[in-house]
Amino acid sequence: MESNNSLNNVYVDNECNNSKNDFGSGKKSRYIIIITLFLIPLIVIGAISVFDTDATISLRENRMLKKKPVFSVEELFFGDYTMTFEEYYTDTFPFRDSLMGANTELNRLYYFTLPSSGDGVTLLIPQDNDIALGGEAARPDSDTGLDSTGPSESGGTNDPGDDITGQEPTEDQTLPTPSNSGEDSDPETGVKPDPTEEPEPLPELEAPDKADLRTGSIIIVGDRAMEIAVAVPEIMAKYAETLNLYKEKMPDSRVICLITPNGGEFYSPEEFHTGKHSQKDMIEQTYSLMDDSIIKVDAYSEIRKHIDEYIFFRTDHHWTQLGAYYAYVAFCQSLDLEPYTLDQFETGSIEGFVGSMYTFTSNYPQSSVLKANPDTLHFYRPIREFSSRIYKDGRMDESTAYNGYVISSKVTNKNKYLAFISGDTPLMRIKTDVGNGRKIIVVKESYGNAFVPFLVNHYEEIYVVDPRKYSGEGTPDFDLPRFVGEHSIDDVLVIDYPLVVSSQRYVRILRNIVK
Amino acid sequence: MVFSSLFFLYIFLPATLIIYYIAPGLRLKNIVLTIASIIFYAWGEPLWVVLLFISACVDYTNGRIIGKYRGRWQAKASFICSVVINLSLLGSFKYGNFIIENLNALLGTSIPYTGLTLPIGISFYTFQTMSYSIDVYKGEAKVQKSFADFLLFVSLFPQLVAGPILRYSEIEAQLSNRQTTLKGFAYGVTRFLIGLGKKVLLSNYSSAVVSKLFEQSGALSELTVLQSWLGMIMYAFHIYFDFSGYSDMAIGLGYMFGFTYSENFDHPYMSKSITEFWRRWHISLGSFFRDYVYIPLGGNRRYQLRNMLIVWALTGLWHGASWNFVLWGLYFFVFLALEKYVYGSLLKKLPGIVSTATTFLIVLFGWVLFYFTDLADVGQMFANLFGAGGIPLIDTESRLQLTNNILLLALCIIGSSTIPAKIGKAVLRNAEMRGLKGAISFASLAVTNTALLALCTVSLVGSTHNPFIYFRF
Repeated sequence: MESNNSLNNVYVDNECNNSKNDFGSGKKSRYIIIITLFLIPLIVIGAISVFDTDATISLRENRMLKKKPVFSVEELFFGDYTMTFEEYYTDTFPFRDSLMGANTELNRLYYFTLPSSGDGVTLLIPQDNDIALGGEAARPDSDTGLDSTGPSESGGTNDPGDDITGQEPTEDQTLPTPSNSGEDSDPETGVKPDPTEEPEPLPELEAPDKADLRTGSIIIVGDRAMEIAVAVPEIMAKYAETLNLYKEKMPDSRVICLITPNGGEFYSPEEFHTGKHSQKDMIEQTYSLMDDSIIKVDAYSEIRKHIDEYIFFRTDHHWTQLGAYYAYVAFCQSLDLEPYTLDQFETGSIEGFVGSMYTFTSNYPQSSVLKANPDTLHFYRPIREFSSRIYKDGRMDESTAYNGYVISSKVTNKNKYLAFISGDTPLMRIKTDVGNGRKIIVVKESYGNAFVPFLVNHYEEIYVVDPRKYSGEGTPDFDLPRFVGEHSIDDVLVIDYPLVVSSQRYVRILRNIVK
Repeated sequence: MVFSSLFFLYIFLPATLIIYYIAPGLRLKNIVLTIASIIFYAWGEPLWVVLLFISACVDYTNGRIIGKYRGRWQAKASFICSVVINLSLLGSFKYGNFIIENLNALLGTSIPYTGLTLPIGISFYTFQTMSYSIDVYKGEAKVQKSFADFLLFVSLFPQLVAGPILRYSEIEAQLSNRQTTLKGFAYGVTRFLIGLGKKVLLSNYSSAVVSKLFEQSGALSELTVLQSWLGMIMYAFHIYFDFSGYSDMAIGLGYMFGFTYSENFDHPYMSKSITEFWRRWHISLGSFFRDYVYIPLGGNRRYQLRNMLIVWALTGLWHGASWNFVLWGLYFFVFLALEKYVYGSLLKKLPGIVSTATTFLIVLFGWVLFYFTDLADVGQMFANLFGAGGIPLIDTESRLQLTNNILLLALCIIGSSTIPAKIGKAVLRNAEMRGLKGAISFASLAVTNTALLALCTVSLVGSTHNPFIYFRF
């Protein structure tokens, strides 16, 4: 404040010294007001922004904010330091969340919609490449994880593999206590993770290439938001090629591919699921390029029969577990298994799920309808007995392993989809009492999470691997064929949804785990 | 650093202003401003700040030599040296890869690319320093003896990275003698905020529409006619508000530090002919080419058509190292020549609205050449605009996009007309006056400024909205 006064004094001084201007003192005060109205906010907010930098998380955006970059001469010279510093600055800008809220209001102007738009599509925004990679099931628990409300939450939505803050995981976070349902109990419990373990460095974001940005868009129709896929034949061919490579490298296992449609295929206006947007065509075309020896599960037809049921979330980009169930029925048909019927499962539900589609569109006024109409997540518990364990990588080192859950009824995180298989983890192993000696490995993005619980009823051992956990710099390596050989795995199931099938980056990631 | 960033607005600018005004004496103020300018430049280009120094040193030295040996061969040699060095800097950094690419294609060689990236603002500051040497050589400017003042001229941050291209002669006196008045400062603030508003509230959103349509939604051939028009029109507004907003901010900042820059844009989209358009669009570039290329070549006195051809090919090339920019320049050459020799007089007889609309259309088609670096894309876009090859006129998606952006479009149209400037001028004039009219004008000025600052801040924070979905790549 003081400096500002002195600034103004300087102007006044200059004024007096320099000239006998032709305006009187009345006008002079007007100029001072104009100048002050500009400088005061700049100086005051600027000063606050220098001292108030402790924000670390944006609840609104459900993400960690940038941390202050570490200075290095090299980074300074190549402009990286200043760039990250500016990102850090904008991320910790004072009143950020309120300003974000104001921005949503401002966007009523820039994303204008008439109260009653023709066919009900109120918003269409380009798809972000990152969400197209299958989105994310496990993310830092913004509701509980950061203020450490304790380990009472069964199975903890936290996951050391996903410790994006780069902070050392606390015991609370890495050692979920077994839940009362017993589903998490593991004979190997008691092995504490090493709390002194170095956190893994954060992988760099690689710049997406232009073709990869063309993965689709998000639309809001009524109270439902959907991702719209765009067929990119070259990338789909690469996807099929990758699956063929899987088969070639693992000739002794069955390679099974399950590509599921998403809600955009069934609940969008016609032109968003026809032509280049037709997921049916995308799936068929991709399947047609795969070797005959690969088992292709026709989940599409089975799901199509049930589109009047609650098979896709409206506020999240995933399917519901009921949707995954119909894919499981198709899976059983392809493999000559007898699927369990819906009434055989013990079920439960989690209310108040406002998912990724809202998070992603929360900047636009049109998405308020999603927030006002949350989803309910229904789950189906496995019928057979099992235990599960989560590992850092394919070496399955017990010292860093911990118990996972297959279904958790208590998810305090905003993201209720974390109810399935402990979220996205590098490697999960589920042992069951099925006793048929069959082993399967599931290579999946988060669509697979709701599907895996059904497999518990048919395999003695289930391994679940998320290839995205092995794709960055500094992440561990995973060698799928070797792993399959070492553990004598019978079936390799690759489960994906169309937005990743046409994502160059995701296909590269899938390719990356076959050495 | 860019003007439209929170860091510039809330840290760099207030800090620079405070230190600048605390510093006693113009000498010290100039040093403060030079240091601030170099930080400003180095913030985004920490390595190539060296080039800025080299360019400044070269032309300072050449200027001194020219002054000392006026009329002798040394002066001429220095003059040539300045032009050669500046053009080589520009040539290797901006056109190196382009030249190699074309040589390779032409001769079948495989010369490796330079691997150099384009340093920010190099097209602007090399022209500025070069113009100094030329002006001194021609006796149109005095030799600058103080390196500090010369460095200030070269590095002055308001216009450093995107113009207006300063002519040494217009800034010379202000380097060593300038006054900051309250009136000038208040005008600078207003002008800066208007520029910021153009950039943040119009250009950024227009640009988002363009990239959504042309870069994020698949092949161009899949767009509808409506989408193609919407995209091109939004691009026309994006580039105008971006560039003229930047110039406004530069001019406004200049005023805050006591400098007066000349105008760079004057409602170009209201022009009634292409000739007029180029008198209103990026004025400092046009006059640079006029004074340093066109007139030395002979101007309108001899080989006028040839001279125009050279000027417009170069103007095109200046905008980027790619053939489409040359084509874009030549495209305007054709219309300028036609207006000069064929239908110029006819154009004057047309009703204003018709000639303005025609001119805008010609400029709009020009932006197609400007936007798409790939000539196949250019062809496809023209096909799209005219609905050739069964391209659908409209679909749900494009209807929704038009609705979503209708208010933005309206704002852009009003914003590029002369209406806001007319109102603004009247308000500024009246705000000084006594009485009710004066008070109302002053109040609306104060409210507009505050609203612009607030809205731009909200939008700048909002544009960093970056929901965490999956980031491990």
